[in-house]
Amino acid sequence: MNKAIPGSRREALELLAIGGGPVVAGGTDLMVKRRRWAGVSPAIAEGAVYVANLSELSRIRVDAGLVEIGATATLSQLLVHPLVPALLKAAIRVTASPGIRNAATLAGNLANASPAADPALALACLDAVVRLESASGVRTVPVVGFSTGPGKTVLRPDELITAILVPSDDGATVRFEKVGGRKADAIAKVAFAGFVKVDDGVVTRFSVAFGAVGPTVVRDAKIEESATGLSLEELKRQLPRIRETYGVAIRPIDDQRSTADYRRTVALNLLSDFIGSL
Amino acid sequence: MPDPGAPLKRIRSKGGFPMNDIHDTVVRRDAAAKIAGRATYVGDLPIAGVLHARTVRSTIAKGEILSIAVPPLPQDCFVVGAADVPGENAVRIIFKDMPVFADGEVRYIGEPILLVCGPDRAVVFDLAARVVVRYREDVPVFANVVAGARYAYSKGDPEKAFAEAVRTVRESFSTGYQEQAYIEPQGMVGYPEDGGKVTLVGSMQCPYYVKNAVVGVLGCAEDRVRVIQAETGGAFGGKEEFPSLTGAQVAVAVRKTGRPVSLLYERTEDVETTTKRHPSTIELTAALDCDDRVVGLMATVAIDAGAYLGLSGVVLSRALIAATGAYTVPHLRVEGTAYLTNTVPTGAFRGFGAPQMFFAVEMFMGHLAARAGVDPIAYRRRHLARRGDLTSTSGLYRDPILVDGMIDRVLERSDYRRKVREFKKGDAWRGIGLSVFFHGCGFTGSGEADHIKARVRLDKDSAGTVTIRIASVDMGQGAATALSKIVAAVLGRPLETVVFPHPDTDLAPDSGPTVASRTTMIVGGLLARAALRLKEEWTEGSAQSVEERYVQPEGIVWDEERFLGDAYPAYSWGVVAVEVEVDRRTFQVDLKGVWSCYDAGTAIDPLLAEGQADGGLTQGIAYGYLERMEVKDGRVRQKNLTDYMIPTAVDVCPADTVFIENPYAFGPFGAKGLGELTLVGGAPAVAAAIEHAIGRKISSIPATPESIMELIEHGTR
Amino acid sequence: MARVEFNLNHRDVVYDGDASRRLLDVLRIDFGLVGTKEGCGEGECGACSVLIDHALYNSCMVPVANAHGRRIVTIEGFRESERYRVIEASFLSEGAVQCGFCTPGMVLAAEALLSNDPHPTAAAVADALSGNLCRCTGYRMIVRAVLRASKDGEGLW
Repeated sequence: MNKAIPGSRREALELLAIGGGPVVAGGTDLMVKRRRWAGVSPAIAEGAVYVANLSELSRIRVDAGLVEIGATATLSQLLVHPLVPALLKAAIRVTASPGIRNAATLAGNLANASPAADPALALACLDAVVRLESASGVRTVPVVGFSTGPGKTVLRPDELITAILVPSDDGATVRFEKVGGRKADAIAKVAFAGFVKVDDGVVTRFSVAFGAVGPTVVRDAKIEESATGLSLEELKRQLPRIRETYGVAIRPIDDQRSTADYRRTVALNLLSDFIGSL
Repeated sequence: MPDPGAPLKRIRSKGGFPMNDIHDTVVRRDAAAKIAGRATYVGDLPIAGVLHARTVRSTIAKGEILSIAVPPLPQDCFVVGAADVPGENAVRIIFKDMPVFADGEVRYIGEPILLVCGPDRAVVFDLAARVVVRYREDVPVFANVVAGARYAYSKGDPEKAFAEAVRTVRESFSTGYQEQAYIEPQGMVGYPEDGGKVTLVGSMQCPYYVKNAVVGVLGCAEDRVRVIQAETGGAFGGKEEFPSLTGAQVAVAVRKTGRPVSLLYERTEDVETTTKRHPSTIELTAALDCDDRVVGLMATVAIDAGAYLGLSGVVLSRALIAATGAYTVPHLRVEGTAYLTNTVPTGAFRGFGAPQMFFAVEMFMGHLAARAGVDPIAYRRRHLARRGDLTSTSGLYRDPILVDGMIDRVLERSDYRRKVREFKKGDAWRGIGLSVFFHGCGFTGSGEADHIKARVRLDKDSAGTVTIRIASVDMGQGAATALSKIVAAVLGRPLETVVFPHPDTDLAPDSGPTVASRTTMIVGGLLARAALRLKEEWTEGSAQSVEERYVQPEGIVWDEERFLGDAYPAYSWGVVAVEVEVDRRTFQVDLKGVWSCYDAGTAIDPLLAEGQADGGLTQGIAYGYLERMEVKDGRVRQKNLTDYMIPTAVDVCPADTVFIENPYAFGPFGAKGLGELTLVGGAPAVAAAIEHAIGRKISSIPATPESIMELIEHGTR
Repeated sequence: MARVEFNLNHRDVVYDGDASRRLLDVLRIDFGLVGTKEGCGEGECGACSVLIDHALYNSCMVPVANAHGRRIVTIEGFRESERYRVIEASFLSEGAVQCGFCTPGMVLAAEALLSNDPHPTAAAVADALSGNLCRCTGYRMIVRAVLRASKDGEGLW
């Protein structure tokens, strides 16, 4: 077997079990982070395992009401697949550039754990779950909590992300908004993902997630719970309180891209706009 | 034989092929190779036995180097530094300025200290990372306190004008850095030749600048240095003076090692350590009469030169000369200073001081109009410079100025008036803004006659192929095509029989640097004269050569000391309108449309001219609202193309561009300068549009969403 | 170390070496295909664009291992085709080339777009080119050239 390029999921897991790694999918984050110099290999360990071409891991199907997205499916493939939820597509559409989307994967996006990641934000809003496999077993971890901080995840060295399981967003009103420095090919200064399901004028599910305004995605379970059961008019009346609570929950910073003030103001503007539009 | 000082008549080439009129668009000469990926840029050169060079740089902003510890060097690896400079450790830009390699002291984060060279890039990378430099850190200067160059001039009687003014208004403006962001990073390669000669090939605008700098650094005879321009992937001024530094470093390395050396910059080091546009603070004070007319103006300009002066004195000059913008103001006092700070040295960038000044002047005029309760267009028209007026430096506007008509045209095509009315209604933040500007063509004052003394040559072989021998380069702007057209048209010969090789200092005379919007007008003008002479002396079947030297047009006189007289032989003019919508939730600016009208005398090729307009305008507008670079504690914060954002294809909007004819007697076929003009008007027009949209005054660019949000909350209406 | 087998410009090739090397470096250094350029090394400028199985990729971010079993086409491989000739003609006639450094990437981005969408709108063209930066042209003339190629090349895509 070609040690670096396993021919199957099982082979990949075996390589990881004997100390191989890191796992490289599209490489769009890793190849840049580990760059040394033109003409010089990036600083990626010799035991790295390259899984991009594992077709076994790129399938997309529905199972038990969840859309199961294979780890190596590229963002471009997801954009045109009928089963992929609209909110996730909306996030992918504004991610990076065409060339990067052709290589990038959800698995890589989650593993990279950038606070400004767009697809990861949509996955968090949708309460997606990550399936992690190792030679010794399988476990699932919610996307919310998968990242523990910038560049940090709960992924173990011998584990491979094999799929992301995403609940459908059929029947919900969803919105993804990314505010970048320019109209395309930009890292989010602040991003918003919103999901509301209404049955008979009553909110049955409310999920809002903010990106790039904290070390990880910001959601607030209390607000989301309190919004459930309200009528839309009542929800809108609650907007000032909801804004205030999120205003405290988000922790934007000043950096080379933007300011904390701007990020906070815009994040809350996007929230108001979303709720106002319902 | 035609009189060299006489104006060129409009010459039509003989009918038939390749063009009936020089203005007919031709297929750009170098495009096919570029499209096919066959054009060879400096990084594409295959070089046997080359040593790859990597720069070790200062990590502190100011201090003294106490020690440099170099790891043990394997076979064939070298370290090159100040001790290896055979001649003088100083790069001549205008005068001897920055060192080739820092020697003892460092003045900015990123300042080059050493080159590490070797045949294996991985080894070189590792060696360079293991070089340990110890410093004694000093307190760096970041504020504008150390003056590097200072100029001042007056016109009329400003004291009296201000004493008698009915009202005076003062405002301050500021502009930020701008990074050229050419898509091909800087690169320079050197080869040893026999007898200690060094040949340099690189991405550059000015082969003779590089040569002259290197001769001083090597301390050698003129004929021991040869410089050849490689296909250059964009420059915009960023490759005007900087290649003199890399050229000197590579030449020293070639001398030391006796091997070819390749120095190719990474994008991050290019963004962090190469020259960029000067940030500026400009204070304008207007003396107004009872009709709110500006009768006097005081301007105080401060630009940040970074750690070394370089071209900053000249950038400052051009900014100061533009102090009254496109307007005539009878009484002036203008002063400016280029300050030295412990930051990355700033330098040439398309516009060269004019973009900063025109931003300030245009915004000021718009604000004065608002104060006076007058329509900003009408207010501008009242002050517009006219033929026969004295310029800011008491020279003369000798040629027709057609700006009034150009304003009419832009107003009409942009539907300006209707939009101003319509945008008042409704909730959306929509705005439209207009700017009026000029660019002085050619070197300031007597630069052409006293410093450059341009020479061009045409070499004809026995088969009738004519080779253009000049130092001016095609860096994408189309000089190879435009200049070949001029020569072919004057000779009445097919375009294919005129050849424009990459400039080579061994083969071509010094026609001057490819800067200051002089290439078509001055160098093209010389080539036209040379071609006229060649045509008259043409002998079928034999090899001939014709050389022409620059002659200053009669009556263009400049006093360098007092900053007085005709700063430029000619002026190109422009009017731009930009329409925007600002998102009320995110404060982001959406460009809706751009309309512009230019007078560059005549466009030698409409497609090349349109290309210059589109590109320059995009850069100029982005300078006004998008491109942002902060230097904090001497460190560039946006140091790659991810963080320093230039427009993508999705960021631009439809553009309507018109060139009008206003032939200039001393330009080939009537052409004046065009390369920089199209950038100058972008920022003030977009800033005026944003002002209009948000109802707040803008005095600082870039007008980013963050700053727009601040203005909405705290700004003045 | 890895053995990577792929099809490069219509020829089967084998690479034996470090799996993590950038595809850009393998193309330029090992295969001498210098038409693909490095403008930034971080996937931002698109000057390193290549086609992999007809889709656009930034080769500075592709580890050569990922080329295994794929069909890679660089500007050198594309320029012999009839589609190229149509794109070339339109780039020439619309003035879409200035310094040329972004141009091979733009050509491949155009090919990737037209392969997928033979009659794109101007907005779709801009979107398809959004990962290819140009500093000289302001993009409008490039977009015009791609629209023209789609018209003049009717039936080719």
